[in-house]
Amino acid sequence: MTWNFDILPDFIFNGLSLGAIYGTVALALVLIFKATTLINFATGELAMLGAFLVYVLHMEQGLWLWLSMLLAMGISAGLGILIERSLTRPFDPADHLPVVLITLGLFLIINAVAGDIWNYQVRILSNPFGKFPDWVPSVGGDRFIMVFGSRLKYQSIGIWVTLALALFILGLILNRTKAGLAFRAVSSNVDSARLVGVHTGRTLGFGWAIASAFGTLGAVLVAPQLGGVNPNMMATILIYALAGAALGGLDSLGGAVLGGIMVGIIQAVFVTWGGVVVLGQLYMSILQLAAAFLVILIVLIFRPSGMFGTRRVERV
Amino acid sequence: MSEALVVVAKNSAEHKRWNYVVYLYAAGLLLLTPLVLEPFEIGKMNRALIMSVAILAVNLVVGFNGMLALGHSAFMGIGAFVTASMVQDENWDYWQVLPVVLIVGFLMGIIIGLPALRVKGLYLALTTIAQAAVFPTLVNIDELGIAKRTGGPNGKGVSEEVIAPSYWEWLPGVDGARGGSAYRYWIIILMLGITLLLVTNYLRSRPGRAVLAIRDNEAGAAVYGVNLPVAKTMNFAISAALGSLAGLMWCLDKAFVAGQDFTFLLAIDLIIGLVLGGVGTIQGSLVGGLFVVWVNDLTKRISVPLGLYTLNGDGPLAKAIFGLILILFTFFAPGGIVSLGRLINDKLIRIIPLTPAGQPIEPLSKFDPGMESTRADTAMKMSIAGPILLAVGWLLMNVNNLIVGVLAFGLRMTIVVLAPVAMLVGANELKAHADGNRPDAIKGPATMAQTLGALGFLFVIGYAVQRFVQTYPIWDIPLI
Repeated sequence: MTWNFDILPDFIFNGLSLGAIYGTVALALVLIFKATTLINFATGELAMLGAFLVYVLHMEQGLWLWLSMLLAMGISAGLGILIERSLTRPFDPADHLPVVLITLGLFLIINAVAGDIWNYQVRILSNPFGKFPDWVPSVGGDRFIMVFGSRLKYQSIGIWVTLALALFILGLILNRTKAGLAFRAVSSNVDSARLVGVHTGRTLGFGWAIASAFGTLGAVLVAPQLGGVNPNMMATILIYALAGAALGGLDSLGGAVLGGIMVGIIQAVFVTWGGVVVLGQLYMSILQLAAAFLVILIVLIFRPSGMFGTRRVERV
Repeated sequence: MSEALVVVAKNSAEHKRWNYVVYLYAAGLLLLTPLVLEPFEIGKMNRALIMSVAILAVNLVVGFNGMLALGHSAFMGIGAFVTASMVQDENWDYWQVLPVVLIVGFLMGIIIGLPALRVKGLYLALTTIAQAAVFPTLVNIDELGIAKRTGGPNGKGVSEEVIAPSYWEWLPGVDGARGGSAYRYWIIILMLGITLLLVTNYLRSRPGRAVLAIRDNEAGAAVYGVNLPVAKTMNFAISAALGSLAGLMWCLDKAFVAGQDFTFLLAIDLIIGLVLGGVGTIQGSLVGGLFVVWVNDLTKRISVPLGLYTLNGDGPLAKAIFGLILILFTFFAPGGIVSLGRLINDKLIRIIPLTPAGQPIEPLSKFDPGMESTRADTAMKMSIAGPILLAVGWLLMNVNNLIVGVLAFGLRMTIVVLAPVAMLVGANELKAHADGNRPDAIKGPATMAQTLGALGFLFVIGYAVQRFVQTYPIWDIPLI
């Protein structure tokens, strides 16, 4: 057993940047859950489709990466509205089974369509934080700076800044716009919101739109870490994001981000650093996914509503 | 709504005869399958029946308890790996492994179900989807002897032969490698039959009724004294044990288990089979298993001619079709194939309940003088249509096109259903005519329907016998 603390910050940084991505996808899950108490199992596949849109716009059509990201987020948002309007609105949201079956069907269809168009090979998508201008401090021209004797990659910083910016914009939308107010009203009580004249259907569509856009953002940010985009890229990310959402509380937006980050740290520090470096057992890296599963179980045993979720009171 | 073809009083002789014929026919179709099909087709049937057991397990949770379980692939995997390890490494017999597998599955169900089932909502879906995703990775762990037991990424083969006992040997199809797929078919159908019986009885028992009550009204069930977490968890654990049983059957049938066989996609296949067959019905699980395997097989064959992307003959087409099926069935047929079957059944037969005195609550015939009954006529048309469709199907069989081929097969198969129905309806109308209690029962068409229907029925039996003799030359079988 070697307590190699020198490289621990490496793992923490890595966990923080992975966790930020899980938090983004968890946010997409929670945005829909908060309004409809429904887990959208197609979140990951919608995000994957968004990443492929970026691939087409940027790598094939040659658009500027950040512009294609914004365009892809917009298209995903439109797709989210379309799905909400055509596939989920006809059903009673209190009855979970049909709507969850619809999202599972979407999961299969989107995965299959992407598989048929782009095959199941990994396709390289450029890293949004791959290049930095010369004036940015670096170590020998490499893309990292030294913090606590460890390499802090610009990519990680970039992910944090992007996520913080996205969260800031989301906060502005939810707290300063009428649509955001309507969304908060619908997520706190659908019936009351409808009674005071909020168009609940349109508001739920708005929630789906933001959720899809956030999912796309998460998928684009995670792509460089996976080596590129492929139709199955979000399969495991979705599980980590679900664990993060459960940890933070399924109806708490801030909790989703924090929960995602904590899952990232658990994965990087406890499993990878603790298992592989300290215990020296390689099989521990297989347990990364199992750690997410354990997080879900432990949260459900000790605090079913998560860290920041509200306890729901059922009226008989 | 038009009147059903046959209207009978509940528990009357006609009603019982109809039931006997339907059940015998269904049982005959299932039991005679290995005598008629080619060995590789029997293999597919085996797979379908194993899926049926697993779908029944999922149905216990989703259909009968209203909770969403997406992780039964993991329970199947646990059952399959325990079986493979005990049979291969410890030289146990399959029958000895059975109780072990059931207990292990039950305990796993409690461990995974209890945390999620204490709270209301979609939490079981959350836990089980993670469970399905995690299971294939756990199989590969090198430490603790796990990979040695499971074979790791290479999978584990079982060299133990399933050999038919000597008194089975006169039956055709039980002498091939590994006892022949037909012998395994008999074992699987026996286990399926016992499972169906046990599940039906369980749902009628006190805990089973509690589970149904929770689905229909959770608060109400609690008021009536049902302990919600215990009832839900026990039900989930029973379902997990059934899933492990399906895993044992999988290992028995394939003699090879690998982690890649038990991924999230298998769990989704189970959900699709459930929705296709009919959520919350026992028959639906059976039908669902058959359809999932059939659609999977069909899409594998048509992916290449359609020019779609395939990898080792397995492409995304099956996923797309399953996704479409899920969405279309959720919108247009939430009751699945079973509800469609019930619609057809309602057109065929209407059973009129009895008053406490034993009289039908309404007259069997709403005969309006001056209006002729069309029942006998319809039966006659069915009895004529059967052979015509058969002939057309036979002609189309020679067209070398897959879609026409499927159509031709469907046309040929119509006689299997049309002939006995025409015969039964004809017999019913003839009896009504002889008794004189229904003036609308006309003798001519009824006689014709009965005769032609009986001929078609005989043809179906003869065809089965002919296929049987063709596949297994009867003079080779020593008669005990």
